[in-house]
Amino acid sequence: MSVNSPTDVATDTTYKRFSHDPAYVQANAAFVARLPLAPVTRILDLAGGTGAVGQLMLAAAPGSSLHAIDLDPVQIDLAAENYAGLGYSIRRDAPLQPLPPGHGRTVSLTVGSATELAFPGGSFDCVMIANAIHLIGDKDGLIGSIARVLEPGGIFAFSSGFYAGCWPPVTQQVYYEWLKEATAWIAQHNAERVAAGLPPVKRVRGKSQLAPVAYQNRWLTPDEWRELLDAKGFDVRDMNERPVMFDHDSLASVGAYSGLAEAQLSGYPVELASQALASTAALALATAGVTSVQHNWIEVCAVRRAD
Amino acid sequence: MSNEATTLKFTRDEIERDLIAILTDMTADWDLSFEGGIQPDTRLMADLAFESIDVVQLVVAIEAHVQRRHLQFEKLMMVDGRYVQELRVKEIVDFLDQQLAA
Repeated sequence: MSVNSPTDVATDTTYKRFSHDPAYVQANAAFVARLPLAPVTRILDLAGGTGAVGQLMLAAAPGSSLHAIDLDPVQIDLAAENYAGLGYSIRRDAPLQPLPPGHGRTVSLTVGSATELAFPGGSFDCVMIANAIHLIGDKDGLIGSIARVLEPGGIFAFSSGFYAGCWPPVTQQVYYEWLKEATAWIAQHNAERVAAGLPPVKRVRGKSQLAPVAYQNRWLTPDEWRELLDAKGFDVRDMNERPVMFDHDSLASVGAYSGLAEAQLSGYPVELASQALASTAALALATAGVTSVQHNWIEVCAVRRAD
Repeated sequence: MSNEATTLKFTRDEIERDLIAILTDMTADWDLSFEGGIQPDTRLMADLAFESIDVVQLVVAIEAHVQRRHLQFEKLMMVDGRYVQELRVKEIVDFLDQQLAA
């Protein structure tokens, strides 16, 4: 088997590795630094993942509690570990009731969907979703739910690396070549399996939950985001497009993440897809003759209008 | 399209014929309700249930067939900074006709 064979190297397919990527960390910190968080007391972190951005939010709003929701129990486990390591009190499987003000340094964690918010109306004064809003198909429903659980005057903030305009032309070229190289990597892997008398790893079509929402949903332009938020009762106070430079290590880290691998190479076993993307990131950059790519992120801060 | 390694010029009709052949081969064992055979107006997503990786595999198959790499398919797949929501066979044919003539 080749040195890049999945049988040789175990890949961490959680978001943990990319959450520590220097470019990603810097982008998140810059996003949070633009938010008016000082008076916030109750934060809802949707699709909170490992807590990488939630921790930054709490640092900027030290008197606030935070309730994080994520569909993936593995991410919730990692978040519990990370928040506990920073000295926060953890409530697992927390009831969908916000803590009253005065519970700073308390983090509640729930496995659940960002689109099914069973909290009472006006439960929070800040709702945040970092780099995940593009994965949610029903954006009308999502924004409406967020408006309901936010008190008037509350902040809704999000960042996303997937919107219309996120990829300059060279980035589009690199990402497309990356998918092609990853596909070829899997083909080579299968050829080696067959040569060794093993059956090839088959792709199962139509099983991915992430591919359709990530890549077949229409990405919104900044102006379309502004219009949608306005229609749902929000005033956009700040909208920023941030160029983030991803090098080989950044791409290998995010390529290994199961969420991206499942969406990009849908139908293959996630472990194999993750390794294919992580192993071919450098080749994709080299093919385009660059050492990094510019990936733009949109950052939005909106305030819920009074009813 | 010819199998001769150095012959890389194709008529539009040849491109269309061979693209349909590639698509027919790719989708042969897919469980599709689509009927009538692949035509120029056939939609990849709506009719053939293409996923994003299927498009990549189609690109790889086309590039192997025409013996050309880096045909800048991203320019076909992304318009106004975002992925297109649908592609018809004839749009790919038009794109290849331009790219292979370059």
